[in-house]
Order: sequence, then C-alpha cells, then structure tokens
Amino acid sequence: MTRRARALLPFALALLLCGAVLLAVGVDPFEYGAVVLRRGLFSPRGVQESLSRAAPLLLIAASLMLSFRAGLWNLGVDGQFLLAATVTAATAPVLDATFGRAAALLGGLALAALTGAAWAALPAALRAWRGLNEIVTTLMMSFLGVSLANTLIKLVLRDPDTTVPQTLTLPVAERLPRLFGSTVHLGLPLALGIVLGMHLLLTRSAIGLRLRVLGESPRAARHMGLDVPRLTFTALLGSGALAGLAGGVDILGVWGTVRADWNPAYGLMVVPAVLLARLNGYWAALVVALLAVLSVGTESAAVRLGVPSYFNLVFVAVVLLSLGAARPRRV
Amino acid sequence: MTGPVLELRGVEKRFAGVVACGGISLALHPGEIHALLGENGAGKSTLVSLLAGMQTPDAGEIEVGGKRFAGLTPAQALASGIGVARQHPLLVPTQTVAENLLLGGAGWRRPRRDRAGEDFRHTGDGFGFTLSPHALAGSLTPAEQTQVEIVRALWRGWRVLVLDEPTSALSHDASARVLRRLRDLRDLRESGRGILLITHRLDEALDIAGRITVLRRGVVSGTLGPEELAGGGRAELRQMIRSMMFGDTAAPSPTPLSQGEGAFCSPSPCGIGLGGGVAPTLELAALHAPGLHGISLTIAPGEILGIAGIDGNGQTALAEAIAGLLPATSGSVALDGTPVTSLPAAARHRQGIRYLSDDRMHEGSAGALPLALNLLLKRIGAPPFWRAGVQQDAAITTHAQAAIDGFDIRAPHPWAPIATLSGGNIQKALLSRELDGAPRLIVWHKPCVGLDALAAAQVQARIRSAAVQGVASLLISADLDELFALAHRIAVLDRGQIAGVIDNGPGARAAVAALMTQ
Repeated sequence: MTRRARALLPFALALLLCGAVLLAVGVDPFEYGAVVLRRGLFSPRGVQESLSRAAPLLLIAASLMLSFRAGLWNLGVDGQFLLAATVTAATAPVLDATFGRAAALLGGLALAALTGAAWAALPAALRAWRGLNEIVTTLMMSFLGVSLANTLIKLVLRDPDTTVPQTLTLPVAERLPRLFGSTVHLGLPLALGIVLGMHLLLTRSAIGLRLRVLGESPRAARHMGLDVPRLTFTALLGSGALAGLAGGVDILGVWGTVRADWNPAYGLMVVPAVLLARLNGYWAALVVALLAVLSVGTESAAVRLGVPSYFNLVFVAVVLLSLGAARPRRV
Repeated sequence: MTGPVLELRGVEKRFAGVVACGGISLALHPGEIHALLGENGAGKSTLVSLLAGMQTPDAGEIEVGGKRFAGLTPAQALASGIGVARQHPLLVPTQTVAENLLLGGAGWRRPRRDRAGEDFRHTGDGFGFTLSPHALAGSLTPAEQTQVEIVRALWRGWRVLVLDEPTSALSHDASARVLRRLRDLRDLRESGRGILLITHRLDEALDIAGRITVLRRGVVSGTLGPEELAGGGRAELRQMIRSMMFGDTAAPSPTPLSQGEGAFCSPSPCGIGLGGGVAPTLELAALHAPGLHGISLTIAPGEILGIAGIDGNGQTALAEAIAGLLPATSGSVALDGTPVTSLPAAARHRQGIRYLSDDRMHEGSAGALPLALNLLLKRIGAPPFWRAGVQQDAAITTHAQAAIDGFDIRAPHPWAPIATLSGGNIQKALLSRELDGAPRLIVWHKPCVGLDALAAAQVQARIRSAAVQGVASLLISADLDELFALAHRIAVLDRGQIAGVIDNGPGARAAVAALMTQ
C-alpha cells in the first residue's frame, strides 16, 4: 500500500462506518451525502453560508492554537463565545442608534474580545498563580458562561418587543459589510488574517517562541528565565479574547441577535480540528473550512432527511478515532 | 544460632549498562542493627528499591524469612515483612496520615481509619512523634513525612526494617531517638527481626550498629563485624571506614594542584590562597532561601569552587539562588561587587551569571525545538537574532553553525530538534549556550552526569579552559573524583549549610570525606 493510500484509509473507513450508521437508521447514505455536499458546498447559497460559518470557527481555531501551543487547555471557548456574543448583541444596536454603524461594529468587536478575555481571566489567574488545572476550571466557567448568557437575555437584556426572549437586533443593513454583493461578510477575511497571523506569531516571533518553550516544558521555560505565571496568564487571556471575538463576529456578521438557549457549541467542533491540523494555521484553516461545509450541510440535511445536525460531530469523531487507530504503533 | 533474617546473594542491577549494584552479598542477622554506608552512587538507593520491590535485580537472589526470591514485587516485599522508610517519602499527598498507613490493604475490607490513627499515635509516642494521624500528608514537612514513613514501615508487622537515610530529613537527635528506641525493643532478638540502616553518617553507624557494611561503586568494599567494632577505637574505625568509602584517603588527589599551574589559573593572579588580594567575582553573604540556611562564600576570578555533599542537601537551591530562579529570603548575592539579589534570572544572565542545569533533557533544553533556537533560549528577542520581535533565520543559523563548529556538536542540521541529538551532544550545545557572550560566573550543576568517558572529558576540558580565561565557576558534583580533578577549593554542603571549605591538595580527600560523613 502506498503512503498516500494509507493516509486516506482512515477517511474511507470513517465514511464507511458513518454510512452504516445512516443505513441502520433508515437513511440512504448516498442521498444524505449528496444533500450535505450540495447544501454546504455546491450551491451558491450553500457556499456563501459555509464561508460565513467559517469566520467564527477560524477565530476559535486561532484562540485554541494560542492556548494549545503554550501547553494550556482552554476548553472554555463556548462560554467565552456565547457570553461575548450576548454582550455584543445587546450593546451593538444601542451603539448603532447613538453613534452610528462604525461605532457599533468596532465597539461590538472590542467588547466581544474584552468579554471573552474577562471570562478567561479567573481560570487564567488560578492556573498562573495557584497552579489550578485549567482544563477543569475553563470547562466549568464555560457552563457558567452559557447559563449567565441565558439568564442575562431572559432577565436583563431582553428585547421587550419580541415574544421569544432575545436581545435587541442589529438591523441587517448595519451589520458587517458584505463582500462583492454576496452574503459573505467582512468577518471572513478578518478571521482568516487572524488565523494566519497567529500561525506566524507562534512560529516566527519572539513571543511565539516563549509560548512554545512554555508549551514544551514549564520547567525549561522557568530555567530560561521566562516569567512563567505571566506568560500563562497572557496566553489564556489572549485565547479567551479570540474566542470572544468569534462570538462578536458571528453576531455582527450573521445573526444580529442572540436568542435565549442558543448555543452553537462551535468550540467542541474546532478542538479536534485544530489538533488534527497539529496546531498549524494553514492546515487548521483548511480543516475548519471543511467543518464549516459539513456543519452547514448537515443542518440542511437535518431539515430534509430528519437526521439531527449533530451527525456532523459523529462524522468528525469517527474520522478522529479511525485516524487514531491507523496511527503507527508507538515503540 | 538461627540463620539471617534477610540475605542478599550476588545481587546485580544495571541501568542502561551503568552498574548500580555489581553483585552485592550481605546478611542481616536477627536482633541486629546493620548499617550500610556509602557515598553518592555507591548503590545504596538501588538496594533499597530492590528490597521494597520497586526494582527487580538483573541477577542474584534475595532470601527473606526462609523464602528465596529472584526479585520481589511490592506486595511480596510487604508480605515478607520488609518495611521500608524511604529517604524521599512516598505518601499520597491528598490522604491523611492514617489513610496512608492503610494503603496496600485488602481492597474488599473496610479501611479501619480509627484504628490506624490510634496505632499511629501509639507507635509515634514511643518515638517522640507528635503528629496528628488526621493531618493531610501533603501538608507535612519532610521531617514529618519521614516520621509517617517510619511508622508505616513498622505498622504491618515487620521482620526487616529498612531505614533509608533517616537523618536526611529528621534531626540528628530525632533519628538517634528512633534508633535507640528500636534497639531497646526487648523483642528485637527473640522475634527474629533485624534493622538495615542506610546512612552516610559514620558516627550514626558507629553509635548504633552491630555490624557495618560499606558499599563503593556498587560493590561491598568492606565489612566490620561485632568483634571488630567492639575491638577498635573510634578514630581508628572511622579512618578504616572512610578508606573503604572513598578509596585510600591518605593518598594525594589524582591531579594535585599547584598554585602557579597554568592550566588552573589565568595569567593574571587569580587570587586563590593569596589572602583575598583580588576582588571576588561572586560573593554570597548569609544567603537564605527555601532549602538554604545562611550560605556565605566567595569565588575569585578563574577559580573553580567545588560543592560536595550528599544529594538533596541544598545543591539545586544553591544553584537556583545564584542563577536568580529561587528568590532569596534574606542575605545577598553580589557579582563583581555589585548586588544582584533583586534581579530576575534573565537580567542576571545578561550580567554574566550562567547556570548549566543538571537535567539537560527537561530543563536545560526544549526537546521539540530546533538546536539553533535552543542555543538562544536564554536570549529570546535579542538582536540580531530577532528584529522588532521577528525571528531572523539567517543570523540564527550563522550563530548555530559557529557553536556547532566551535564545540564539535554532532547534529544533522542546525534546525534539527535538539532531542534528536545524543546526550553528549546536547550537553555540548548547552555548554556553548552558557559560555556564549561574556560569562563572569558559571554554575555547573553535575555537568558530566550520564555522559560517557570521552564526552565527560571534553566537558571537563571546557570547564578548565573557561577558568583559565578568568571565569569564576561553582562546580556542583556528586562525583568526588571530578571535584578533586577540577576544583581549587571544595565546600561541603550539608542540610542547606556549608559544613566546611577545604583547599584542594594533599590530604583534601580525607578532609572532605570527614566533613561529608560527620
């Protein structure tokens, strides 16, 4: 077997297994696949939706790359994302009405980043100065963040003119500028630039090298005279800010509002993607683009064929497991 | 007379080809306290691991309680009645003292915390321990943890008690009290029990032991039975044991130093033994830090000050306190007369204080990062290798190539991950990093540990030539031969304090040996 065939084997296996699952629940896997690809990629509307979806996913990828490179596990991106989205959705329409569109967009993005960073600050400080495991604290803070966002929407930030609890809505015309007459918004190039910039920062800069030494071994980092607690705090704070920015971009670019009980849980999807790309920004962008297609496609297929949209997570999980199984044994 | 409680026959253990125990035979007789003496690397700790079942011998056999084993598992060691109180306690930090006693009991039985706690109090009282059995093990001081280890070793009904360096954590008085108490237990003889006391303190062994075995480089280098111990005078016995431990201490050092010898002194007067005519490069004054209790010493330009001592007596703390990694609680560190006590490590590095770690794989280098970057990890961001924070590959490659050529580092490529290099080549890379620029003082922490003879010789040559160029050196080593071959003076570190400083030369070996075994 050639190397290339070996590399593709896990994907073939994953397709096969997922096909079997679909057959078992009485769905034609070929029809399902066709719907997913058509609605996610091979239709003008689908490709535009996928590209818009890619924007927050790319920013989350950048957030995770920053954290993982430093050997830190920010698993609280979903809470940081949703809380930031909620703050942006609640404030941007007010800023827009008072100071105009530019203030709404810039202020919304800045507030989103700040909110994400603020929600990461407690686990970051506990990790940096008290040595508390950030895997647990960021995850717990994520649940709190999601609940707090819902509570805020229902109790404080609720738009009085709607029946379903949701925040104020930023009018479509006031959202992030659309590109070339499509529905794809400015958030996409912004996010792409940030992912690639993050890649260069981590691989080509002095600060990136400091973070990599920390990720390699905190003992080595200390020995090299680096301020390990401050570096730890900064990396987690930056990671939170980028996750928050993702929330801001998604609201200002696509949704315009946050409804109570909305939680897209993009973080869960992007963590494996970033690890699959081995924290490389170029690969991460590619894998995230595929994820966006899958995620948009499966959402359509859910309506059409009754397979829950979570099936994209099943597919991603099966791909990862078969990749793991196909890994050469460690000697 | 009944046979021994514990007998080792030709026990061997090697680690990656290095002999830790090279065929050790010894017998522990009932009713006896048997002291096992030896310096660093003599094989004492390995022997303890073999008895506790943490390691399996490569050859030989262990006979305990009439049963023969090619190797013990921890469960077999416990079942055979071998109780081990380790030098570095192995307690579960999140559990209480009583719960730590219960570990290893039958899984299906309800743990009797109350009874364990009462037993602990009862046994502990006899030794003068005043520790609560409900305290969390992780909150205990090293001395208290050692107390728990001792009680735990006794708790299960023991036949053989192994006490590994009890004085390293306990005070001298406390450990003497424990040993006297154990000796005076009326039934030590009748019940067929024996105690193996591992120590490097001669007087402790002479005070308490009925039999002494000395290990040197993995083999038994001498034994003193009850008759010999009773017959000889104290001074005479001490001298005998020291020569068993350290080789012939009366002989001069392998490479005696003479004051004017070019290989050891820079052309300018280097101030050693000149009554302090030259200002010291490094001066520590009453330095206190966690693990260090009032260290005062000076090192002249071009001087190599050796630090001898049993591992764990503050060597790492001393190195880190000088490098700026461990903040001083009081006292001062001065370089060339200027205090640097409040400067962090990076600033001290810039001023010329260098520190070569004893763990080159996990602390001294970042394995997955390229060799070229590892050479600059203590100067991240500095020009010309970074400009406005951006990495300059050309300058970094040139710098790495110079190190590779100058230090004969065998690497496939300057940008190969440093972990792909051999241990000797990694060490050469780290030497080049610490010698780069204008070093004033270098702390060499076990620079040759784990290296083969050729690589070690190259490293030692570098240390010498740095000294010739006027760099002050602090050489921490567990290898006395290395210290006597390189250092001008040797200080002995004992429980975070300097026990004494000896000028290298004829008779230095005996003097250092005497300080180390106090």
